[in-house]
Amino acid sequence: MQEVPVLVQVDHLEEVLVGGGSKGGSESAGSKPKPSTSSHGQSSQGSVKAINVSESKMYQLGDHFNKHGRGMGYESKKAYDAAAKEFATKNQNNPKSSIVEGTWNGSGSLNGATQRAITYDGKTVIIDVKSGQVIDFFIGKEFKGINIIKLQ
Amino acid sequence: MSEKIINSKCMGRYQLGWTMDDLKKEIYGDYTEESLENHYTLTTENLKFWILKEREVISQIMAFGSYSGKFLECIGIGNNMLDLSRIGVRYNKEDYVYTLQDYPGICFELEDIEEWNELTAPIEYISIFNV
Repeated sequence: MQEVPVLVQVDHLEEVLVGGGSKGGSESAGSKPKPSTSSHGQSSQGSVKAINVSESKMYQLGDHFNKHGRGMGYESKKAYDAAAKEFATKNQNNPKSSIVEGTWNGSGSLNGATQRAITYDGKTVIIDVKSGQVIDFFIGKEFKGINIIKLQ
Repeated sequence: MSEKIINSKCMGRYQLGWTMDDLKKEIYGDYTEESLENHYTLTTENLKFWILKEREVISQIMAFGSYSGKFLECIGIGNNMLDLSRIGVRYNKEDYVYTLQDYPGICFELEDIEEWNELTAPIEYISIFNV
């Protein structure tokens, strides 16, 4: 049985981001993740480098709308998708938002992709760092499956 | 006869555990290479390979598009979870993918169609991986 990826919270921001360290290599696509120490999202000034949020629709939009969007009060997939993109664009530049980043260590098409989670006002949006595609948008702060480092 | 997809083992002739060199000798057609945090990936028209940087071996293979290989000789790209249920295969949703209770090392992702439904949405990606 595939092991379910677990959340690894890194508290010592400065040490992780400045000090670097060994890369968190996974044994297999479904293996238990190790903490990642990358700093893709960090600019030289220490501020978080913004991602260009892609116009392409959210990954698994229909499923995520059924799972989260309806409960968040959006009347359609289109409205939910647009709100997710707006939330991401606006709050990645919001100094009050919490921003973490990590590598998805589950199996499937997202395996190994670097994702960024932006949380503000009780909501979280997940973005693929490379493509800028929104992966998910939900109420809460759950980072299951990515080994996170805190950027902001 | 279509190629076989075997959980935790192979996607047609491509085997998990092959080295990058093995793969490049056998790969058919053009491909693109990409570097991720812990993996290299090679993508062809219908297949994508994840190669662990640490050990330089294939840890996951994903089929998509017009790939015609079948799992259990009948489940391929374009089938759905209802087809899996009909042959008695039990599945679980794990985050973004569907895994099979009795077949570790394989997962399915569904296409995002307009009237999305878990049972009838076509399978878009099939991945096999090490467990």
